[in-house]
Amino acid sequence: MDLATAIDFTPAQDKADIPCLIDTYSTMLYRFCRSLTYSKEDAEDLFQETWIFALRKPQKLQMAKSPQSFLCQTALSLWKSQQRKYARRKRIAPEVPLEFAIDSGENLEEALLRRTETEFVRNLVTQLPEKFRVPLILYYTLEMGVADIAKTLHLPPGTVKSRLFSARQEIKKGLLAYES
Amino acid sequence: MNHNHIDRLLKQALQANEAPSPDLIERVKFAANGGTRRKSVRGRKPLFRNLLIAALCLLFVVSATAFGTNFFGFGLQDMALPSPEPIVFEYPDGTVEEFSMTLISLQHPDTPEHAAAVAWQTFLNAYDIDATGGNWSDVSPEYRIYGAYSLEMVEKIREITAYYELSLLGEMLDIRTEEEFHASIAYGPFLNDAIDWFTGYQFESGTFQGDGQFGNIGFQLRFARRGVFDYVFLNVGDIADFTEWTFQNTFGMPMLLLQSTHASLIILETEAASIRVNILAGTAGDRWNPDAPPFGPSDLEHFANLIDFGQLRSEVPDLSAVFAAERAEMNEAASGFVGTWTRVRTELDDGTALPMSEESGVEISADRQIIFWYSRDFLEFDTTTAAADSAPVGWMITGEVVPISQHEFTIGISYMTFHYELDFQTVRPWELPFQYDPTSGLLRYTDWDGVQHVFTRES
Repeated sequence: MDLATAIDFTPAQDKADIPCLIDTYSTMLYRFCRSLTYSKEDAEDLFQETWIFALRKPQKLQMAKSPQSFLCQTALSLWKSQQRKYARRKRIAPEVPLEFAIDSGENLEEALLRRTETEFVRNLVTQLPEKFRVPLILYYTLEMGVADIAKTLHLPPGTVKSRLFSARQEIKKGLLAYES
Repeated sequence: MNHNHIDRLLKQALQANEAPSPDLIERVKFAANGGTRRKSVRGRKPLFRNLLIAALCLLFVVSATAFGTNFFGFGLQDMALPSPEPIVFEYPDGTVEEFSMTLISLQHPDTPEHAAAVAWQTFLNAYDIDATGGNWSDVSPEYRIYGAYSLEMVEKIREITAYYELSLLGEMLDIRTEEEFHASIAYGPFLNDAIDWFTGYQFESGTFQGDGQFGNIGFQLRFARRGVFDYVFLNVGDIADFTEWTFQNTFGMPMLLLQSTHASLIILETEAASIRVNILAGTAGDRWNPDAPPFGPSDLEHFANLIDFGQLRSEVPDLSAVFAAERAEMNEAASGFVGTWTRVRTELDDGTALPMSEESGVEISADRQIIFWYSRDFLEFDTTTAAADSAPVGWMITGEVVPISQHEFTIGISYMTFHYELDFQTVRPWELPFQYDPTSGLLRYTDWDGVQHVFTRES
């Protein structure tokens, strides 16, 4: 189904600044989808589905105190509800890892080492339970603060802090096991 | 290894520099600016929406020109069905644009299957659910696949299939592995290695559909078996856009090739079936996929040479054991969820209780059919139209339980009704996640807003 078909269109005056919202938040949303799914295909699908869902109720999006939280929350809900679909696709579509940039002044050997390290950490993150992984993605990928993460995930800030702490501990354990 | 080190590694690992492609953003903007409420000329036609989606999901715009004599003796023009009413888009500036559609069947035009498709489409074009009403829960699953949502529609399908002596598609098996699929549809390998993967679904009657990828170009193959009433039609655009020619591939199979700027089609007729392959690209590529290169006539012929259609099974495979095993496995896995469940509380992830004003419940039968009803305050649910109607809103879903484990299942939604509109909401294939805790005996569902709904089983 194409996007135009999927959206239940609403009156024009309600979405005057929708293109602006799309411009402003698309990169953020795409990065979140990309980190969440770890797959380019799935990320693009989830990205579009999130906008479809959000644009079905444009006022809700426009009136949201934090469109960023609203969009992330929507993407997360969609992703959770369709995990079986994405899991099935994972079996048939190759994963495309996140882009890896070589820092200036870094030689190839250093870059390769860093790349290995980065891939390993990413794998550790993907293995984390969702309740730890999602706050980590919001914190490190989208650079959200604890308060915004709490709002996005409907969690008390204390719980977010505790989950971030636990997530880091899990990563640390994985790295120590790897090094030993 | 201190906190800062972990922090740096995580930053490095999770930093995403990628941005969505301009095309992806344009698609979203296109959808956002596409118009105001979409409606048909004579008011709501929910069924038409379903058909539109079915057509769009299966095969994109296809049409043909230059219908000269070919060894098939027919062209796309001959496969045309009675056209549904056009869709009218109202743009924000008040201008109106009309989108007409021409549908074609997937069948040979001189067959009962095609005649049945014509009869069904004629009925659909005239059918007005607003006048007749309908209740999805009255319709048994073998008719729901045709988009039937009233007993009147079921009766029409029965009449058509009896008159033309056709069978129903039957139960659908969602093929779970590529190997399983291949074994059930073909005697041996039939796809060249250049085709990356091939998966799909199959009906008890032997009709099947597969989806594949050829480089960056997607394609769909439908094997519409003779003697079976099929529900899939194609949306045919402007016939003048297409070029048509006959071709014989390297395996000796004669076929009809059609191509426009954004679509390509292969048509084959065998004793067992009408075979249609839709390649989602034409001479200008794929309008929805910027990665798809232009796909010209020689590319189409090359592609046609990559499939050994003769390997596709001519007889209906006996899948009864597979279907029985699938049903037994699913029923067994779902047996723990069977019953009538009543919502006892709603809460946030951290256990904070929320007010619960309306009733909600889930009914799961032994054959995994589900009815899930749910209501909440309209103002909370949809601010867009709250001003016009602040009555309580609720929705009812019917579908099938798909067990994931003994403690988790999803509902594959097949139908959804919004009480406040008494309308049929078209949804994309959707799955709602439920978790069952055998210790407490509670069933949980987390909705779009992150609210958890907790149910107990009625004794």
